[in-house]
Amino acid sequence: MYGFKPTTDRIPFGGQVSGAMEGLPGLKPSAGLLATSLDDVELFMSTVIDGDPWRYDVTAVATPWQRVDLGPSPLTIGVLSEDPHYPLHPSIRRCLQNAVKALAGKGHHIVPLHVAPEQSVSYSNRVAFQYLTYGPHVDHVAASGEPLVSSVAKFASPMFTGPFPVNPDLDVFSTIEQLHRAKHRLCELWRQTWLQDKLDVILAPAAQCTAVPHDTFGWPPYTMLWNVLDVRFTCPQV
Amino acid sequence: MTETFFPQALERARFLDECLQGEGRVVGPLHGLPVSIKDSFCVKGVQSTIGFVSFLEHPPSSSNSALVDMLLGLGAVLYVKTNVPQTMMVSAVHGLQPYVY
Repeated sequence: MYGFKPTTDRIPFGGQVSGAMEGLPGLKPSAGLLATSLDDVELFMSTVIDGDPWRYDVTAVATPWQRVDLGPSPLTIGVLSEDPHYPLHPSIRRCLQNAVKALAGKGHHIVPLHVAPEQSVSYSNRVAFQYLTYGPHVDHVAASGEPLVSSVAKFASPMFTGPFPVNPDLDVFSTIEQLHRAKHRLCELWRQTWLQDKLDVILAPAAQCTAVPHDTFGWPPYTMLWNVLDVRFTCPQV
Repeated sequence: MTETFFPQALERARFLDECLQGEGRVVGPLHGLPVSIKDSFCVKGVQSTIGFVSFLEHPPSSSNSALVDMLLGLGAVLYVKTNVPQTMMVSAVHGLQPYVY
């Protein structure tokens, strides 16, 4: 199975049901897909994007699907290091090591990424958490009296790794401004990493672990980083 | 699966078969392809409860989400809406913050 999270504002996201207040500054969602082959991922992406999604949803940009020929030159591949607060299970570590070995064997240039604390998985997840929780909250679950499912009831959160990026006692507008600055700094640091290391692509784990027993999965730190960044870097090779 | 609409899907598949076999045309590049979608997407006449029992009080969707209209325009067959996690996987220490991401 292949899961694909597109850049935001490409696959039309509009017209869905959500339990949250709309329009608040926060993380941008992205509609992605699961498919059984990379060919199918490309079929879906190219077909939907070349189908003029802007006609259906004002948030979808009117940029055509880019067909890219990378050519024979090797790529510069940045490898995200394990965050000490979110250690990788041996199977994931092994998978990453095998991928790096295979890519290096093909002549690609591997660059282990050294990230500053303010661009780390831990910090970016705390930025995400504060964005996800600073706004007004409506308890749709309590409204019916139904119980929380046990994984939700555990209230898994990234806040064990450090403090809130922004003082949680600030007024709403100051919170919005300070979170904006924190997120902007985070994105700027990653922009500098991308350019300084001349990266074409970043290789990283999607999760600490493989599948867990039903109803035990908690917080997704390694994918949350990319949701927070929401950047539009491109492969300089192209 | 949260919502199923198999009779409509079969009718749609028959219509698409008729287009192809009867008239020799395809509706689009995804002609006849079954595509499952998450429950947060809206299909006219179908509920979007997104894991909340309290949302059963809401009427079924009155219109399709943008992507649903696109998929239908491209020839896909929609037949089911699949589960989303309760509260969309986000809950705060102080309570619940449903958020779509």
